[in-house]
Amino acid sequence: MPAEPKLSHTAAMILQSIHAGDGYGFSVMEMTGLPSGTVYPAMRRLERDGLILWQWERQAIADAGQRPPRKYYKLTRPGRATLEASQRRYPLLAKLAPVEVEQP
Amino acid sequence: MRIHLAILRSAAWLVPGEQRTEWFAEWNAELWYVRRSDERQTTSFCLGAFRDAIWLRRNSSPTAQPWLRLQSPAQCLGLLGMVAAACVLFALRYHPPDFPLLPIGQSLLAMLLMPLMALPGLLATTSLRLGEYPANRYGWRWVFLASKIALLLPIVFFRRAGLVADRRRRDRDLHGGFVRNRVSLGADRSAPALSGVSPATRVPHEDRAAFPHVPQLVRDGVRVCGGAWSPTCVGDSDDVVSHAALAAPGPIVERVVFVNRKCGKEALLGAMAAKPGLQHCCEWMDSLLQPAGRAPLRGVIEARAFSARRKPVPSPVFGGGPHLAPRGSVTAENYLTIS
Repeated sequence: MPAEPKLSHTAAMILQSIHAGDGYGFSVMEMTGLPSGTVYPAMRRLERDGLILWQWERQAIADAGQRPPRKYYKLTRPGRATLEASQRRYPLLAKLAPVEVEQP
Repeated sequence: MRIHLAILRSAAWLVPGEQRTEWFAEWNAELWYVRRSDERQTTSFCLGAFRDAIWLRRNSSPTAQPWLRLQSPAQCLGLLGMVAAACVLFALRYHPPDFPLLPIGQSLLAMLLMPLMALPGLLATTSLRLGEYPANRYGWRWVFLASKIALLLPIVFFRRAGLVADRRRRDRDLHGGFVRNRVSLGADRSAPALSGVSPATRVPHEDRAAFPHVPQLVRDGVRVCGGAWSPTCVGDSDDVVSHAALAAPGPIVERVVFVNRKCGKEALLGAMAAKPGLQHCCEWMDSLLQPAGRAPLRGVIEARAFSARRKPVPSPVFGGGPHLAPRGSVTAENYLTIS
């Protein structure tokens, strides 16, 4: 059985926030508090390693909301396994939850 | 919003071409949401795009950047050799005849500066690490390094030579015009009137062939640049008609100097006034250029060009060497320069 890849704490946070949050770059930034210059390259690395994959939002949905379509990321099967391993390694990781935004 | 889009577009140039459209679409979509926050946060968000773009550039597969893969010393040296050859050929082809191509006689500091300027270029010319040099032979890496420096030196030097030569060409603007033709002038002797003199009224002078671009010079005016100017030579004052002759009514046949009003008359007159024996020229030209109230003039206009050149700013490194000193004279070559 191949060894599970070990992620850095930052990469694990990003993986967790993709799993727990809305799955797009800005939501990851909001959940983790990391700057865009860290989050997006890290997501590229996770994607390169096959831990996440992305999908563009359907145009019709974006048009209905009168906004541009977003690129959503979600975990792959190896990504979920890696996240579980990371949660064992970083127990506080599971507490990372979406930020509640007050609606006006 | 515009500045943020500009930042993203700038960063997009770093992204490999086949990923650029999608990359920009993703960042642009995110920006749509981010811009609802404050300006500072939005700018910070956009600046992060550069790191993302650089990451993509560095981690693209080899097929993603097939146009330039400097993964071997031979490829790196080959590219540098081609650029160096192009720089040398360009400098040899376009340098002015009186410009010293080799840095002989220049300061030691200048000689030292060139390799220093070349050193930053070494990092950009190859992605090889020091341990990846050919055959893992220790000595070769220093041969490779020395070869790169040797090829970068002509690139830096000859481009510098080209830039200095360009600057010298720009400094060859003229302030005055030269014409030696018979013309008829009305009361209006402003620059447009002088420029509008019909070619039919001109009687070619025997020296006209020496100055084939003069008519065009008169019609189109002479380029003028602002800044500090100093005359390097002045026209022959003996050719200038006297103030009294110009003031007399009726046609006269004399030699007349004029200075195009658009050509920085004040700058030229001021420069001439500082020259002993030329003050009367200033007075005379000033009267000639009065726009109205003058009697019609018929005569032979013979104006020597007053060549003026921008004072070179001494470089702290290369100094005001002989190649930068103002020089030259009123010759046909001067006209050819600006035609």
